[in-house]
Amino acid sequence: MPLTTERSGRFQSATAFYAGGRDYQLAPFRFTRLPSIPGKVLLVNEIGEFAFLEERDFGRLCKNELDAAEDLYLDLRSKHFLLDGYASAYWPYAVSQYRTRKNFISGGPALHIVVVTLRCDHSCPYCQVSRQAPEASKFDMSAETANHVVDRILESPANELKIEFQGGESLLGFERIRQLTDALEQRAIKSGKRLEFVVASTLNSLTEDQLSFFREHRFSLSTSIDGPAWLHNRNRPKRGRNSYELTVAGIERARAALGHESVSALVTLTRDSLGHPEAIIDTYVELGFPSVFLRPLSQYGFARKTYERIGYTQAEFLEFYDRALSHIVKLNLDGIRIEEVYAAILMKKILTPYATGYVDLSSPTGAMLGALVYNYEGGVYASDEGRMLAEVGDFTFRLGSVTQSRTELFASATAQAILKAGIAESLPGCSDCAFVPYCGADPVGNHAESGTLIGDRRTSSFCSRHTGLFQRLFAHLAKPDSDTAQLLSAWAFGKPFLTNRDQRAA
Amino acid sequence: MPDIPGEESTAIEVDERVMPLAALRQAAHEFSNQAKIDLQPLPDLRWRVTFSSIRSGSPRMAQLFRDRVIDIAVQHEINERTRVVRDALVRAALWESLPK
Repeated sequence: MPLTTERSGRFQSATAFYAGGRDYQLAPFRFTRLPSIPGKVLLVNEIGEFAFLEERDFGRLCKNELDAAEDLYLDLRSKHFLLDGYASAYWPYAVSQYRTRKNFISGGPALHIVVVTLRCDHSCPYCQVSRQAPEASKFDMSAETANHVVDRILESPANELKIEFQGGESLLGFERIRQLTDALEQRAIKSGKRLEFVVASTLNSLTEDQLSFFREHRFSLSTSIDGPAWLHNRNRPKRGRNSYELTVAGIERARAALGHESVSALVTLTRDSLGHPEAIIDTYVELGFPSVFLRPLSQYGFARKTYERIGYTQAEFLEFYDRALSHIVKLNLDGIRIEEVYAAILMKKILTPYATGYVDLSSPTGAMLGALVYNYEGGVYASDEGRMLAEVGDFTFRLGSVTQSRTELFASATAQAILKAGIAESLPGCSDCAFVPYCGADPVGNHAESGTLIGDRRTSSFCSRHTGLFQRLFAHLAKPDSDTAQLLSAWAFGKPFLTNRDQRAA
Repeated sequence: MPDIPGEESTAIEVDERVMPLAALRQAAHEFSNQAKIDLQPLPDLRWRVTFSSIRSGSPRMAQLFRDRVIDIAVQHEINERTRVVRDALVRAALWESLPK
């Protein structure tokens, strides 16, 4: 009904603009109940908008008993949970939002992981690859294979490509990194693609020649810091038992040569880590990292053998996470800026329709669609975890060889099977889950745990972990004025966090 | 829907007219890693749901199960009422993202 005024110039009453008291339709949505908020129902619609309702109001909504004059009705309509005479405004908005959430599909894989060698000088118990001795050069990628890798990477339709070099210890395959970087840059000029290079390394053996090369080609470096020195060295044994000290020295040299922001770190959490969330986070703060990514251990490949000794349940991880997040919030309230990356990714998915680039949590699956892995022996894998499974003889996720074209690789039976199992909205246990607009499909993890690509949500660690995390984040969002909710929202939008105290002072 | 306690099991009876069979089966699947669940048809569209070998740490299983069946049934109804809109939304969104 258009806005009109009577001849006298006065506005019509509010109810004149409503289609009718209870004449509304429901828009598609799912719902759940949070264990920590009894009596309330969380609704999430198809485009990721959410609302908390009292139990009674949820019943009234579903039974078409809401009155158009109610504030609740207007709120739910504005958030696209119900459709009435103003539904014409819903359609273009909803289509745009949904398309934006799925936009990453059309770009092709943007992340290309190149495993240049399996050689490594560490003996981390959680290592998922069959690391080889530093002198075992037959586990290096050959020059010929590298040339094919260049062909495959540049076939991706994505205009912005991130190439991440991994190992083993990738710096032990530095000559191959050099070859690949030079070739990719030369050929990318012609195709107009923008390239970003990352090296994952312990940084223990970083040389000046390597630093100079990385500076010239604007590399980022990604390393591992598992926590304070005693924890890191326990997790990452090597001869000399000084992995932490060498890594920190490498970080400092890299920052001096490439810039402070050029180095990032990831933490791997073992059973020994679970009792020390505060110490781990404090280490990251002391080392000057702006963020920490708290992800649980995964048990792919060779890591399965040690999982009983160093692993833990998802419930134990979530208990650790609660303590860690609480500590991070406290630090931020004290003016120390440190972001938890997992929460930031999930919050971005909740509060915005935009892609996060996190291939491990997307639907359709990020395996193959978001990332490809080129192994030292010339195999092309749908994901890094798929490559790790191959190390123990499971080639389920091997798409083919680097000598095959992208078209052939994506037309393979393996690729088709991954796609069929890779859409969370159609999976049993996921299709009616309230969190599915924010979550993802994990065919590789499903296969590793249950033997099927579709998986079993009753026992899926991916499901229990993300359900637990979403429940926790939404419990905070239910109190939007709290400092924690404000902090989480700031992370979602990449904005500075102002405490309520700061805002009051301003 | 009364509880019918057994020695190492518990059971409830449900009315299919209140708790649709599809919802009952889905809930039974979801709970089947917490207990052995048997669905036994009874006369007049009723079912007996027996929980046995209940995993320790799963208290109030019958109550939780009932609640879950109701929630599943409500979600199924919402899905049915909104199916046309959802399908059209997904088709329109993905169609628009295809290269032209």
